[in-house]
Amino acid sequence: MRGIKSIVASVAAIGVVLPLSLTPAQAAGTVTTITLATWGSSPSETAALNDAIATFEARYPTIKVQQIVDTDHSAQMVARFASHTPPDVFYVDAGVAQDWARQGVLLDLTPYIQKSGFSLAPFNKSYLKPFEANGAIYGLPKDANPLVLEGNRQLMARAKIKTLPVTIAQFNADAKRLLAKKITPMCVDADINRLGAYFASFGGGIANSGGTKSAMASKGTRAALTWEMTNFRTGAFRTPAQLSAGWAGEAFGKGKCAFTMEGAWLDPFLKDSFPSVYKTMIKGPLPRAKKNASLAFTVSYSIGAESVNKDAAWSFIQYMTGSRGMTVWTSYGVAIPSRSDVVTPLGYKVNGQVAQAPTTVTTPAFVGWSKVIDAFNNTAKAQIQNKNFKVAAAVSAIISATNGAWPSA
Amino acid sequence: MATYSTAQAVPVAKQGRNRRRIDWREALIGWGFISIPMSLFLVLNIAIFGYAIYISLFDWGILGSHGYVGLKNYQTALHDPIFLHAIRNSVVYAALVVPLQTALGLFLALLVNAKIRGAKFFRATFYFPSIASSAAITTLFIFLMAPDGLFNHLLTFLHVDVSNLFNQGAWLSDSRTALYSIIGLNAWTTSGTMMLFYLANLQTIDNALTEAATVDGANKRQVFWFVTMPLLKPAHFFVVTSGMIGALQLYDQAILAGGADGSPDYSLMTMVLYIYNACFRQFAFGYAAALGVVLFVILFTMTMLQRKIFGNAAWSGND
Repeated sequence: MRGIKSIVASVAAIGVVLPLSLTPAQAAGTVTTITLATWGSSPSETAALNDAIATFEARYPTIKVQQIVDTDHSAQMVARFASHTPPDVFYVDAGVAQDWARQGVLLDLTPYIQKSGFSLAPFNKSYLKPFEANGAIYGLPKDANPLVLEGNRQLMARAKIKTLPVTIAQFNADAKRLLAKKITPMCVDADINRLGAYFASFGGGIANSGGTKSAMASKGTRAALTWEMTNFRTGAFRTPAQLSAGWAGEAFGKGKCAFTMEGAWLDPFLKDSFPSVYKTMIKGPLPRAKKNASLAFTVSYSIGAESVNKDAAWSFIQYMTGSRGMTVWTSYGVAIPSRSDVVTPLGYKVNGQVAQAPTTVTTPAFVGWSKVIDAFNNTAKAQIQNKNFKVAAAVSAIISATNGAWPSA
Repeated sequence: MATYSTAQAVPVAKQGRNRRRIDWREALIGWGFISIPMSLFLVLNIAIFGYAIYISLFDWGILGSHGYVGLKNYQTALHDPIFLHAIRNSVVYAALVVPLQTALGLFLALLVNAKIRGAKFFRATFYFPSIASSAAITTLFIFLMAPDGLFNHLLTFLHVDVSNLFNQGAWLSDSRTALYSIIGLNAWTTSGTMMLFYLANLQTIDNALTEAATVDGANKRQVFWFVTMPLLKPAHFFVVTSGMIGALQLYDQAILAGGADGSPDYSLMTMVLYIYNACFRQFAFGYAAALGVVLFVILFTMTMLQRKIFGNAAWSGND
């Protein structure tokens, strides 16, 4: 009897003492580890993400974040969806968001947004749009990244150019002076995600305002394409491949062109790889034809329809896309806030202004967008490969191929 | 006599039973060993192929079927201009790369099989590109073929104006030269493997046969064409068939040099790259499965044709 009593007493003592030795979260038994799948990126971006996650974990001690860095994010995510084991939170590129939403692999965040009273008002509507479908919201934009014009001051000075061109006419004049000095004015790929940035400026667009129908055959788009193809013809524009570079930022860093048009991702790349060019680089909005315009890119944090820890995942998204989390994440300068209530980081004033401009739009988002991109890029690259190509024929071929790939309904 | 016969018959019957028991045991052990790889083969190859045929009959998305569509995916494939372009690219690639890698492999094998000084060194050197990562080799090749790469420097040295050549010397970014550049790359990188197959076959050829032909008055060329070449039939069959299968499945070099869209002008779009696109960029698993089945039919037909051309002798290894 005495033995039984002592056993009961010991168990009771352990029951009292053990919880005292645990953290409050562990004591409550609610420590949740959520998985976050991202793609690999620059050291600066990795540091920014790690810092933002650390601040989240400090604020939410009951939630731990386990990162999964993918080498081929889209393909790996599709494999995870197919095997019904998606991570709790993951990046979704705006370009595939509509496809994934239609496939039913993304969780509708609307009930979580409503239940938590999370306000969408500070978000620039253009950045939310790619993740909205049929009244549901499948992701919240973690940041924004518009295209701006970057100039290499040393090369510009050789052609006696002091400031970045503000208008298309100024760009044309600068290009002539640079070409006379045997300097390639602009390095830009024959890609709809770059050339498309000028369509709205000339009064056209890639798609209509609803983002569903092609606007490629519009007068403005044809005028923009004509200007761009003329530049490829004269050598004012050259592709990274023609300049022996993997991408335009590399060509710019190597001093192979005076201008390029990239987003905030260019800065940490130049800082790490071409510090002398980075120090003398100047930035401005893209040259305008009729009005200022640019294309912007965005990525969301989303939750899988079959993710296990949905509530904890929502807490993470709420924090990271809220003003506090976004401030930490964008403070490193790798991206621009997608919210108007978060201050643009130092050194990114131009990127921030362009990101918040009402004329800056994201690329269209609809099911089958990747086919349109492929059609445009394949045709544009093929048209300019011959040095003496005909501009009008090239423009018509690009418009025809792009419209041909546009989804019919 | 009868006693003798009986005395003889009993041990014979016993021996027969023992023999049968041993045969059964050996057969069981044999089946036991073979059952492991065979079941893996059945599950990982045959069953999966059957499943691919099954889902090719559906509108199959990431999470499963959206409905039965019958042969619609196949009809779409046969009218899909980009897929037809991909078939054309793959066939042109295979038609050029297979003879090139075969000829080069045979030439290298003959070279290292000859009694020359440093044969082992040359064997290792020729085989090296085959064991290097294709991604690394392709990246290196992209640098070599860039406008300011080694290849254009050589052309400039030969007084060729590179700036007026294809896409201003960007060979991999011109639809007229991109595929042929990759053909050159792969003929070089795969020839080492082909050399090994030929070398293995060459070393099984009895010297007495070539010596007899020489004694009969055949010169070196005649010995090669009328003795060595026919005896290399098994290697020809293996090299051409495996080369053809590999060539029609070109993917890594195409995506590295041309991107997922196979640009420019879909010149680097191959069948397997297009299947990847259908699956991972358009999320049409059913359609991708149908494309895979079409690829299988093409590969199977080509293999059977080659078997017919090289004859059963090559298949069985006898002449």
